[in-house]
Amino acid sequence: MPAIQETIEQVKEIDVDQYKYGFVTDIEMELAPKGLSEDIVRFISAKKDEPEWMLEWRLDAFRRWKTMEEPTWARVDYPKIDFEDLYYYAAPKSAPGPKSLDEVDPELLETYKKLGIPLSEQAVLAGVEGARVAVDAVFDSVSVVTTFKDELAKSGVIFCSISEAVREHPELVKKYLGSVVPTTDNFYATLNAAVFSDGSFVYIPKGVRCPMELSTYFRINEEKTGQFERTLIIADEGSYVSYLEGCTAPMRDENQLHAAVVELVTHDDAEIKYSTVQNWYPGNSEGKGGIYNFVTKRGDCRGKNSKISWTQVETGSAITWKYPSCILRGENSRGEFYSIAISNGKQQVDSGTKMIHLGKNSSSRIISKGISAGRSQNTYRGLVSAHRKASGARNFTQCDSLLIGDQCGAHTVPYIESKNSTAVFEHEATTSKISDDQMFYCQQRGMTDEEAIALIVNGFVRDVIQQLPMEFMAETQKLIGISLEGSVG
Amino acid sequence: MTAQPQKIQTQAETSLMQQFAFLDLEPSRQAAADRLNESGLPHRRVEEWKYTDLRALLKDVPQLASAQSVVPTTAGQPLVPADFVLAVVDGIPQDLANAGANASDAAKEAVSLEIGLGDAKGFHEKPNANVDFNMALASSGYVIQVRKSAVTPIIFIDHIVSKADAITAACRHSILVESGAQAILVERFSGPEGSAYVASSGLSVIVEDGAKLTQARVVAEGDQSSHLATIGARIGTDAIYEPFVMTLGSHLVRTDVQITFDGEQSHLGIRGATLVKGKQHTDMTLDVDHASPNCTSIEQFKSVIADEAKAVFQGKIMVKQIAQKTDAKMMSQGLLLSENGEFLNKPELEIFADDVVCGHGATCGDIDEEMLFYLLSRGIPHPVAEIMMVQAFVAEAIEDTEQPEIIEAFEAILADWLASR
Amino acid sequence: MLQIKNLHANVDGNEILRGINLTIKPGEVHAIMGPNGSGKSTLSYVLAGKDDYEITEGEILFKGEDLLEMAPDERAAAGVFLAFQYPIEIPGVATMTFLRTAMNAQRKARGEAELNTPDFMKIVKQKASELNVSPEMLKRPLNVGFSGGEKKRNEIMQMALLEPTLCVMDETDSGLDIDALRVVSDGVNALRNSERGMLVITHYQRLLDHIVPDVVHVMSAGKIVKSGGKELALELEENGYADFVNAA
Repeated sequence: MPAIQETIEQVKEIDVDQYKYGFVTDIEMELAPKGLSEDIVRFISAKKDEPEWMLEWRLDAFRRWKTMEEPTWARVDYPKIDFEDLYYYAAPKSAPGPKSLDEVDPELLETYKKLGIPLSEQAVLAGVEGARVAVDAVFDSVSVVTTFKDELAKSGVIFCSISEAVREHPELVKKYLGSVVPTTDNFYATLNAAVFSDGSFVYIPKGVRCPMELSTYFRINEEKTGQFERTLIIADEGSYVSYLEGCTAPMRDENQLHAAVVELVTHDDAEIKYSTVQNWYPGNSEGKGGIYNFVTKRGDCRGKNSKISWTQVETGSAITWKYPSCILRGENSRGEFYSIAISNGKQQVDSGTKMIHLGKNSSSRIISKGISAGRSQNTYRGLVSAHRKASGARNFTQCDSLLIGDQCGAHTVPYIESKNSTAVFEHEATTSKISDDQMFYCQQRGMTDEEAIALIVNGFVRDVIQQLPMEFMAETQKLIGISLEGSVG
Repeated sequence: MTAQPQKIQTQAETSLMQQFAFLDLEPSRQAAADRLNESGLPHRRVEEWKYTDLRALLKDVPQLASAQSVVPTTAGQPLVPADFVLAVVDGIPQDLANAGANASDAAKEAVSLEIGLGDAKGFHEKPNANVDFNMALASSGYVIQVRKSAVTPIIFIDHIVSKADAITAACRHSILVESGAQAILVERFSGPEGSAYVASSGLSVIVEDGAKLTQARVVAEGDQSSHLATIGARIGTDAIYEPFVMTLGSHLVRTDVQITFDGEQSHLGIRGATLVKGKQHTDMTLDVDHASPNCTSIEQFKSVIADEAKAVFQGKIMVKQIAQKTDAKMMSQGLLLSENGEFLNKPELEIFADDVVCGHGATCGDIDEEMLFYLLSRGIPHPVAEIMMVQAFVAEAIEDTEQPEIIEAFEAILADWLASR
Repeated sequence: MLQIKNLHANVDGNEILRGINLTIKPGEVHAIMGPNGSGKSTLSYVLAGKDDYEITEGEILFKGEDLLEMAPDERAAAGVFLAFQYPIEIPGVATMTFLRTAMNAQRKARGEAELNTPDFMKIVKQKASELNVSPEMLKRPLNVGFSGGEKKRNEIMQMALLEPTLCVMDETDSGLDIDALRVVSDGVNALRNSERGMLVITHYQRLLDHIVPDVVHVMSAGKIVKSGGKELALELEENGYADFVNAA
């Protein structure tokens, strides 16, 4: 298996205890004052040139948020966040929306290089013809470069920043924004609705198969900046899109809050495949300085035969609170959730999915692989429910946990609720460790402990890796090796 | 800005608090009562009660029955032939004079029985509303001690509610199975149909080193009653505890089972069958604490749900960091016989030790069409085939019981239930 | 005894049977051969009354009665037996319990008295030993953990016990080694008599060396494309199905 061989080599190259992506980019920032008030919400809205209805929407969310309390049910533990001590807006001072790459801040390009953006995508940014991935790069809060817009436009695909969509496609934004994750949904989603800075907007028209995979890179850069991305993807009847999201973040001493919202909508016979690789800074070996990642991701399979598939690789962040979900409203709709969650050091992960079966013959599949090492805590939390009318609903869930070392925890908390006798649910969960026999076999063939673990773990997560788009596969295998460094010995 | 809203007490909370005020409780009971006074009855926002909102479901806590008001009654026909036959009437333990009439001398030698309030050491330390409810209300029960002997005594406790008007019946027993001893405990809970009585039952179990306790419980309360039960058990070294809980009666049932492994090389085999119909709501909540290394546990539960009934299973397996080499397997399965039944299932693993083999499985659905067709194709009529399928489904849990008499008793109860549907 | 007239059947909207005509008289053994996917198993399920098949056209008369109007258990009581290609495993139901329930249900449906336990045991033991079914197998849950051969022997044993008038055997030879094939075939041959009709569905000719048919049909794409004597099976063995498939 060459991919695994590559992993091992990558692991060898890594300078232990150095977060690869822990650097700070020096670009001038424009900051709004610390703290959150109606004025800040107005400021953000004004900065983005938003119409009145958008401002009202934000203010409405803000007022609700003031009455809400931070949820405490997840198995995560962190010092209380002072929401008054955060900046809610930061934008690079360079002019937004450059017409060509020449206008892009060269430091930004340097940043992408350090981020290890795959060559094909660097080529895209360098303007090499034939490269086929569109990148809507989000540098902190404002989209600064979007490529391939023209080619996408030819097929009628809209791929732009959400601020631009608010201005250019208000009818679509009005119709869909908040229709999957309402502004009242939960503490973090409501906060996001009030102060979201930017994010991506995708619309795939009827019958169109998006000609390329759409990809967004997120970066959190400015100290003490809450990052509130908002993504909205709509696949109209019979369309298809594959969306890639990858993240890295620089090393910081202060914890950084990230509360993104992602909404997906599929109409009849449409399909969205959403893949994430998340490797934000997890904090140092003492658990200090990592990202707090409180994300609300939800897809609404509105149409019959529609499909939404979430694939996630979660290796970073100090705290992950994330449940990409599917509302299976359409008849014969299908939801999928494939997840790898790796925790090491003092990371805390509480992640999983919800599959809400409302439509007849809707089906779902959950494959979750959790790996805990170091002193981390890794929880799978999932809900599968069949409502009264969801006749013939099907779910299969497989939740496997792997423990490396005796200082960590692996937890499984599934909720399985059936209110329809013809719904058939199957759930299986296992927890185990890497067997001594497997380790010995690898060692006898000359591998170090870490190489052996990277190899075995890559085998353990294979079912999920296979779901990833090609671009992410190799990167993920490397990431697994990197993430588990220092987990033995 | 946010004023604390006035907490409104439900009828059940009000009558519970009033009764507490009148009872002259000793400190440990008072502490439990105080906790309930403080928190009120648990509701759906309390995670452990998410699916059983006791505050909404428990309409009232009628007057607690006292020893003065109880008419002495003897136990009914035991579920299985027993050495000791004990009766608890309206929560009050009955005279022990004839309890051991059928017991051999060896059995009499092995077992000591007393009326009183034994310890509650079997329960987990963290507060639990169901345990508190029982601790505060129960004033008596049987204190059972089993010594090492050549025989395995069988003790049957018949819990009867005798009054037709609604009362609250509360009792708590404790059973200590001493080092190397073996015992079988069989319990039955029953009461009148149509009465909205509340039965609160507590059982504290200690299985010492090398000891073994087999337990069979049948909950067949009256159709309008509420049954709130707790079992707390601590298992020593090289010990075995094998309880089975069969639940079919009552309007509302909540059984909390708390297990702690205190020693190594021990085994827990806990099984259950829940048969519900009409508008019944039953909840089996299991909390197994693997606090010692090298222990094994099997948790196997079957729920058969007819009509508009609702069955809840919550099962948590905790494996502490010290509990290396734990082997724990939990399976919870629901069979929905009607369109409007509900099965709410929450199997949970909480694992802090790495060298373990733990897993759980959960399934739910209706009767397998392929199997049903096979039976039909052999000429078995639909209703008979359905009964066979349900029996087969439940049998998987029942058949692992070691005592043939208990298996027979359970099978007979299952057959009756199926016939009465 | 069995008359199938212009039978059409769909599964999930796909037409699998496209006009089957077949008549079996008492005492006759018919074989249906054909390539995979030709609709052989569908025909057997339709005869037994499985739910998933929609009959769009045609009729099936069994002893002059409309078979399609009958529920699966009524068909069984009337004398239709299907030996499944993949016998179903039913955990928790002991084989013995299953057999007794089935036998008595059929007897009851026909207005006969139930068998008492000693008589039932005697019959089962006798049939079981003829088919090499061990007493230990009878105690196990139905088909659970049985090998392929054990499952097929169990099917034929049930056929012997239930004494149907029409025996439909779906790929009974699949998964059998030579010895097991002989045991099963002997069991089937012992049941041949002037009253009983049989329909043997198979992919290979080798079963028909042991259970010699009176008539052989070739099925392709949901139709019977050729019928003939037992020599037709040999011809097929020699030349394969290709000619018939093309003809269809």
